[in-house]
Amino acid sequence: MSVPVTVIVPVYGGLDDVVACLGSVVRHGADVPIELLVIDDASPQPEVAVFVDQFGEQDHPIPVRVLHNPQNVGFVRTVNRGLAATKGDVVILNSDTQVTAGWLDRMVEAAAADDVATVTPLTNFGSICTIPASVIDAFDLAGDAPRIDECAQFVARASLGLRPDVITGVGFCMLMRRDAIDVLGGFDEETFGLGYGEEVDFCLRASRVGFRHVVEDSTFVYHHGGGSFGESRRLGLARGSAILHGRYGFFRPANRRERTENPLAVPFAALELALDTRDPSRRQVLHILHSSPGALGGTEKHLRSLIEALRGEYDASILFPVESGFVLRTMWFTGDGPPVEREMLFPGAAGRVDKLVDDVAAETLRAVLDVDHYDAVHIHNLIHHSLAPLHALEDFDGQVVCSVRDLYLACPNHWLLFRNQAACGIPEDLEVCAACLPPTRGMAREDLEAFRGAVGDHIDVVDHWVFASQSAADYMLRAYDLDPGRIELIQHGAIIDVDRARRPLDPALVTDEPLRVGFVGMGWPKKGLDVVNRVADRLGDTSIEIHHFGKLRADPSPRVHVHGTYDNEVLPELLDLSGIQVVLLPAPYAETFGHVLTEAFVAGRPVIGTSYGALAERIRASGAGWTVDPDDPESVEALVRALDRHRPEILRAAEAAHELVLRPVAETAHRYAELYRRPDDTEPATAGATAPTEGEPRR
Amino acid sequence: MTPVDQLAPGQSARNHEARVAVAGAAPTAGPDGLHDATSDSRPVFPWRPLVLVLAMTDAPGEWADAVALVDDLQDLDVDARLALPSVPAERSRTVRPARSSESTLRTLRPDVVVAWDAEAVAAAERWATGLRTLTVIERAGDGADVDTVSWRIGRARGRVRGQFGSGAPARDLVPLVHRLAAGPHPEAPDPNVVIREPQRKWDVVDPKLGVHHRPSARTCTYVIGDSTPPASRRAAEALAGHLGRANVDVTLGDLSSPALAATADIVLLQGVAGDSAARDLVARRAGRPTVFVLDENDIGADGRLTAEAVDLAGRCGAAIAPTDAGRDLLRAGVDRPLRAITVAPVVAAERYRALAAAGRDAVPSVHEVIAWYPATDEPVVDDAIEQALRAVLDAHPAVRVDVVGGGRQLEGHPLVRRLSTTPPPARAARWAMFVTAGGRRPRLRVEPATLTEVGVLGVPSVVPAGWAGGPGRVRVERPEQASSWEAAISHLVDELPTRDALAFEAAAAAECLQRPAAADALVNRFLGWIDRGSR
Repeated sequence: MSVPVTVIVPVYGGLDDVVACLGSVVRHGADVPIELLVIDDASPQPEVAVFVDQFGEQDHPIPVRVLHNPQNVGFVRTVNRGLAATKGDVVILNSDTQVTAGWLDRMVEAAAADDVATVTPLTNFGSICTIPASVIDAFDLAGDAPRIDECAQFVARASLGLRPDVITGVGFCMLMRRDAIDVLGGFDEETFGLGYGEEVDFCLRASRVGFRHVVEDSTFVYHHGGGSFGESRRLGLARGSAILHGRYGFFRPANRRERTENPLAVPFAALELALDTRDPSRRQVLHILHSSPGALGGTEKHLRSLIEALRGEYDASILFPVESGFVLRTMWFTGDGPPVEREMLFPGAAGRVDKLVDDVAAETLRAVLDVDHYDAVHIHNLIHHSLAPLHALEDFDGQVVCSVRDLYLACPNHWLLFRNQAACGIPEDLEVCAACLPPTRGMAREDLEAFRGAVGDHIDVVDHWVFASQSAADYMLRAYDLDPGRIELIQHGAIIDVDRARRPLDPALVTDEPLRVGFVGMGWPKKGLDVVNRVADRLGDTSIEIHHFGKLRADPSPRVHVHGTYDNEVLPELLDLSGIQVVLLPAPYAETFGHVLTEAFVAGRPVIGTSYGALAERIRASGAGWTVDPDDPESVEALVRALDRHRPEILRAAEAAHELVLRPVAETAHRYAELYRRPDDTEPATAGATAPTEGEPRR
Repeated sequence: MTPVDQLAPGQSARNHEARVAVAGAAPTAGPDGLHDATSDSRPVFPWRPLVLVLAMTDAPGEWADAVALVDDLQDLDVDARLALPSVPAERSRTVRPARSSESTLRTLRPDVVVAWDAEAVAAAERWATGLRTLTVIERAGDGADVDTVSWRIGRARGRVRGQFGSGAPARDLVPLVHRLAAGPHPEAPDPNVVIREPQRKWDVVDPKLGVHHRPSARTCTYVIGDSTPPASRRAAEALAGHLGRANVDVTLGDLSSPALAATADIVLLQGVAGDSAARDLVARRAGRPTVFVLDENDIGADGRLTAEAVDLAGRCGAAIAPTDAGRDLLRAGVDRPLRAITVAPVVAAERYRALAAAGRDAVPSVHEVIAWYPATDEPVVDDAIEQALRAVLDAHPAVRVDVVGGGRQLEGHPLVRRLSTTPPPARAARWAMFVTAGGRRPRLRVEPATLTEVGVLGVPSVVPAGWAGGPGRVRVERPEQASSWEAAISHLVDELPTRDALAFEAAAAAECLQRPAAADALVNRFLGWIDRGSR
């Protein structure tokens, strides 16, 4: 017959807590052999000692022993007395705790490995083992009527059972394996007197000789907390901390690392996600983004529109980086109201990820995939994630969709601008890259080769490569052999309200007013500010006006009318108000789509755009503008002068812009819904599959 | 279409006509025969992909296919040109051939070269140095296939990125041309060449928003008639303030001081249609900029301009309206030559700053306060709103209503506060939402200033369908039904995230369209329009 696990409960006052604690231990028992050892440390309230004696004399489902200290010796010595009086594994259990169903069996199971020294469960008040506040609130654990058993059932059901390692156990409820006790002895009663730090000291001694400490993350033990030693707690903690840091030089850095890596982030995320019931019959997509979904960029707005458009069929979660890690935000739809939104922080490196494959980012994604079920993962942007998702998704059995919104995968300098100046076209000769990457990205040629090798090795992880233009796909094909069967061309759609904002260009504005050309977008050379400045300068002798709408990040010519930042939702109104007839987009880099181009078309404005990339592709297909080479500002100037002299050409192009079919994002959503479905799904395609393409006229 | 023999070498008829339109005169065609392309051959308005069909190996009398290809491509909206080593017997309908030469290629700078023979492929590679985007489609075989040639790093064949058989129709070539014209550059930048001149540092850098091209000073008299409604008068004063920021010295006055008006650089006439003094003033100004400002009183009950307005606007020859609907009324209703633009009402700069500050600093109210501006001209809708608000108040104990102006709506309700005028911005900024149905003049469709101002405050609005939608606004589809209003208002009361999102949208849009810099842009446009009309 195996040696029982002894649950040692040192008692010193707090009768109500003691009654509840002891009652819970005998009530729940265990499948493993168990005994309860209550040690009264000369409690000052006589009723406590009386109760303990009476409790020991009663019949219980489990063996109960009672010891009395003749005089008060303190928590640490009391525990050591208990350790000496036992032969097997022990659990040190605070007298202000309440255990729950199955608690000991699971903790014993977690202690099965020989190198485990301690096991600690989750609790509502217990250092690193404290469950999230949302769970505490959900079960009223901080109130007068905590729903302890309900919480324990919830934790047991929702837990991922990861049993993460931690630096030290926590003493409110800590299983100590006899092997470790035999090697290390008990607590250091000489040093730690009344308590606070003795269990950490034990655990660090154990770690020093190779033992581990585990959190049993499917077990919940309630801890009333704060009562032990009352007001002296704070002082005790401080004293104990000083001793520990003095003894163990590795403790501080280990603590810091544990705060960063947060071994309980994933178990806690699983609990938080389980608080809200998601309809398991609904599909869910995990979206990987490079910034907060609430940001104002085109990618973020597009994603929000897409999620909203697919709410009838898909729930969504979004994984995005923040300074201290990665946030997972759920968006679960129940009915017509706003989605259930919950955010959880997962481990990650502070600041920008700059390794080729960031291990922490990969582990985080794997953990996210573990905490919930996803039918598909949609990568929108890998910046700040490194290439980790491509690795982490190797074993994912759902659909992986990757939207190529910029050409980061082709080159870490995703602008594809040689020295941030001229379009590079993804050179054949890597010596060109060797002259560009160091100043622009702090990378060497070898890093690029490794980068492309890493991407190339995982190309087939992606089931569907989505491009918003043929030219974007053609740029990727320069660097990688993508399976043509996996390439999807899906235009982004308008991210502003097309129905509201659509308008023709007033012909009188074109014929009856000075020519005003609007440069829309970030005001820096990457978007063509250099070209705009030169053109503005050279047109100074005319009535032609050059305007800029957007944030300035470099100096504008004094001849440019500066308007500042704008809200793209009302760009058409702003262009009307300002009297802009033509929009100018002379960026030297190759756009993959061009949201501003769409917004200009919505406003009925023709566009002068770069002669390569998606702008050129869309302008040539529609006739709603003209193309120019940003390397040739004189040609831009010549075109603008010619338009000024021959206004009917502006009217022609404006009419072409107004005739275009411009679809909102919602009308493209059915394409994504099809991509998210697994090959064996038999559901019919969502309605709306027959919407015409942008190039077709409206009539 | 211009006959081909009148074109410059390498020029297309379409391009020639564009040059004539721009220059106002036909350029000389140049000597007969085959010559290098000239700068006249470049497209004036480049939007079609520019393709040069280039042959180097002479084959006299056998250029029919090349000529046909060029003509067909022209018909398919590809700007195709032709360069040959000898004069073709067949005449193109659309282009005059140029001589196959490096000069021709570098002058035309095509997006794509369709190489008629192997020597043309080699020539294109040789001559195109520096033309980094130029790609080549080579003619290969007699079949009808058109295909790409891989540009994958390690497998690319220089600039050659497509192939076509002699039997391939032009329409099959067009998609490939478009694709290659937009694709990645075949020629990398030269690391040893300075790509661009160093960016010039401007001597004067004043990125202050708005007008910073100070036009020369001018004077303006803004004549406002006695019958002009208060809201229109306030809008006029705001416009005057913004004109002042553009170095226009504005005097607000009436027709009792015609001398000042007679000599001002610009005169604006509002609310004086039918006044003979206004007509006399226009006559005295003899063509100097005199602008009719459309007012709601200029529109009759039939929705048309009054005869007086037609007359005065026609005499002025220039008019502004607060909305596009008003502008269109002017253009359609005045039977004399008339230039008309929309000059939307603007918030005065100081008022905007006060509103924006109040919006930024707003502290949420303990109660959800709904602001309601009852209308005097929409009684059916107002009744529906009143019923809806009663129901909302009954169902939501934390809701309060501020009734601003109006009559006896919600009279005596304990949770309703009555205000005679719009409260100060700090108070209004705490409103949870703004509800109104009135003030929309169907003829002019001018939105009430309050609706604009609550947008600046970041307060979402609930308005009837049929109004212009916009960021931060919820439109009620059946405004005559109380249940529709109740549903919309209750939704905003209950869903704080939705309300917050609408508030953000309203504030962002208002900042873009109502801040002083936007008004400056409007004024800049107005003055440019004035100047254009003065030419």
